[in-house]
Amino acid sequence: MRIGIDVGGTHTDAVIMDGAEVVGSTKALTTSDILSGIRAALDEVLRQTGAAPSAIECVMIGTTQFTNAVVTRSGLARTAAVRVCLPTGSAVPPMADWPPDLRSQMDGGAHLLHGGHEYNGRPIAPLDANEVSRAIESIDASGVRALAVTGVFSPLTPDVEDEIAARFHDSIDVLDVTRSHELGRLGLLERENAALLNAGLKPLARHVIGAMRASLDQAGIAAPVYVSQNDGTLMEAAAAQEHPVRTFSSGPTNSMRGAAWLSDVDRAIVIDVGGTTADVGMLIDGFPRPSGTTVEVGGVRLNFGMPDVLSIGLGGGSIVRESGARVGPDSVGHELVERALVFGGDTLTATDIGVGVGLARIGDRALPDLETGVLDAAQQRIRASLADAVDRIKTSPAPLPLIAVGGGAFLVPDDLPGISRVARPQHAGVANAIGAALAQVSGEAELLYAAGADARDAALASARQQATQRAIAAGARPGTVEIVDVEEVSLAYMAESTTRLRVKAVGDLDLDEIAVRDV
Amino acid sequence: MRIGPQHLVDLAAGAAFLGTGGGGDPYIYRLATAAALHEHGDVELVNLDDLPDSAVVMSIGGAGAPTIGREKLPNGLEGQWALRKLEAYLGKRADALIAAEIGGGNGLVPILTAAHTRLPVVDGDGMGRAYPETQMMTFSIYGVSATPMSAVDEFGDGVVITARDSVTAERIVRQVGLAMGGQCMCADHAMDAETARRVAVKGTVTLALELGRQIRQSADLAAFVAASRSHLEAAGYGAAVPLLEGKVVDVSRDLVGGYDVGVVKLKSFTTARTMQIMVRNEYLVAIEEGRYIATVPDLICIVDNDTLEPITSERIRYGQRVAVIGVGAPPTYRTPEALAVTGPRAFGFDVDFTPLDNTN
Repeated sequence: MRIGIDVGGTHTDAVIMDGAEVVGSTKALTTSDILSGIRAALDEVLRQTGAAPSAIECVMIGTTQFTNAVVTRSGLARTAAVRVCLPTGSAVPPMADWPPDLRSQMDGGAHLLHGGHEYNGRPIAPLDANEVSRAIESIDASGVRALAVTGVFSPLTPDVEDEIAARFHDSIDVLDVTRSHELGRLGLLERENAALLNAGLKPLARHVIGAMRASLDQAGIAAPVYVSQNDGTLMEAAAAQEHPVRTFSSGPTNSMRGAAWLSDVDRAIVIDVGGTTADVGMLIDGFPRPSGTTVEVGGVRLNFGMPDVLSIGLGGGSIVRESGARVGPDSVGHELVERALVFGGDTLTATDIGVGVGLARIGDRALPDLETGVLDAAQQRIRASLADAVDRIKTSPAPLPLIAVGGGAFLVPDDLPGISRVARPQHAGVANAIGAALAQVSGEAELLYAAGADARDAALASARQQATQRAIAAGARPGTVEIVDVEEVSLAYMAESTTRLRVKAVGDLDLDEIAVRDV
Repeated sequence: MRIGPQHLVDLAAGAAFLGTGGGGDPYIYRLATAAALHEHGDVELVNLDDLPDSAVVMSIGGAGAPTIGREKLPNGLEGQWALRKLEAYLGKRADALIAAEIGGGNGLVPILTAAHTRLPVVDGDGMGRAYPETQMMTFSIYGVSATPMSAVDEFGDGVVITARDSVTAERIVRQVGLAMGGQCMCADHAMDAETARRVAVKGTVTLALELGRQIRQSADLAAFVAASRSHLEAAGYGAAVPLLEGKVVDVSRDLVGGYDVGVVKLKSFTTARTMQIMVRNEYLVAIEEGRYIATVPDLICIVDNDTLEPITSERIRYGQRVAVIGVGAPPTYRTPEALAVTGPRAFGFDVDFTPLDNTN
């Protein structure tokens, strides 16, 4: 059996799955120490199922804690930037385009050094030992202990970043270093941004991942722990502690993956209705469609793959005004159980409307009499908002199934335009925790190759093999690894034609292999 | 007028629109230029009519692959170095700078260089959009020699190319750029203001600023089309014509002769209409059911359907929700000599240029 946990801003959800069956599920409140919220959820699902802690083979956790830290500017460490680029790059220094409030909190100084590589691996300039020493002395003296190292073309030639990181580790005792090539893609500014956020999140990551481990230890669960990444695949907890930025956006990804699994549909619109917002996305082949335009987290540009999700201000707690003509975007949020009419409160919410029209049975008292027409008007308003969001996220006019999940899923009507049918799977309220428990791991490879048919075939074979090996190294069962994405971008204007190739492989997590490793 | 940091968001967005998919993402040059303007002060934008006939105007712009440019960021001095190298060869100083191409990041390069050199920047350029090659610039088409042309790298290392014609200069500078790590900064087409008045596409800096402002302010595509009309007309362009609102259903890319060659397929949101856009760095022609509905040199722009943000050909992806907009090219690109090097046949399409205003 395995456990899926989703640590959200408000709720911590947990499920126990036995093979393809959900045998227990619960929702608890998220606590500031993380630990007691997870403990409460764990205790409840173990109690429900009567499962022995030793029967748990694997724990998968999804969390929005790190995204929230960046968005709310809390819990971030001051971080120094070392960029190995000179004589290029000085016109656009690190954090140049960051929101001022985030920058003032995280800016731990920038040091630009000579070095880096061309696209073909030729050094741009040699490292200057004196320059490196001066940067080390300056950062040592400043007291900043988080560091991001970024070299030009480091995804293709990582040596410089490794060398600089080693020099810093040799000279300064306790230091959180992130080398940008650990985080991937070409595009220096975005990769540097990811490395800076990552370095600054590491202390928080130790706290959160440590609390996750501690809560499992307390519950007597010794199984390995995995954390979900923004693309719906898993990484080991130790990797999440090293790379907290890889969890950005895993919340909507997990709920969409969970929805796909619960309804056995792999091409559909998914609406996850929470307390305050509804997230609308599209599943293609069981995975969320990635966003095509610029991705930002907390105002910082990144070049990660993120799901294309449209958030609208409509949830179970949305406040209803103007005789039902307005629903949201403001919400009573987690105070629903005090403020909604069906809980004896004084505020008309979307949940009250749902109860009033017979879509939901929630609350501990009858809905009082409402002004005539309010129920109809509010229901029409909700319908129109959702219909518009669905239309905006769809890629073709052909009708698609819709999967409604989340605590407020009852607000989704059965007859939206362009929707063939609405699936309301069992356990839809904890789809995100189920999404976390869907064990898949991935590996990526990226390389450049020069023109020629043979060169392309060789490059493709090499990249496929690298990606597959990386997926297996990450814990995938060898026979299940599939190449899910091949992306080629030619580098225009080059006399010697050069193409950038990126391959991604995904496979099922090998539970047997985990057990063997554990012994 | 004077250009300050506050103008750059709009200018970059407008330049990306005029880039018709090419010219490189202007984001990095927007940041670099903003820093230079903050440090050195605003830059003067001048009309060619306000320069004396004998004033020396030099064209400036970068050449290289967009992906290289996203790793090897500028140090900001490359433009100045290219300029000084050309000046030293010619034995005369520039009195004003002009953009080689207004499209994409290259639309901002003269402003960054002007911040350092304190020279004025001409309200105009050599393309009115983006094109892949030197001989496609109006300066070359109407008789100005592209060479001597300087090309420098991030160290200031460089060459001065002399060549018998623009096509040859283009072939040589491409090899030079490769030896410099895949990109270089060039100064070329030195001319007097009297000549520049005859050969340049005028008013395109102002046009980019205004288009960027409309992109930011317009509530939707229809509002942008209406609001952009007078600005496009003032610069000699035709009106913006919405060609399709739909989704990108396929993107294929291949590399032919050092160019990013591909096809973008789109499908309408509301009808069964489909469209193919052929790419060679820039969006060149739009085809619907075998019929060419827009052809180069008319502009074919793809923007995000919700935000109206222009999408460059490197960033176009499957599933994006976009609007395709055609804009009639200015008259300077509709002459026989211009069409000979920039019309659809110059890019290998077996069709004559059919102006947008005749097909829609």
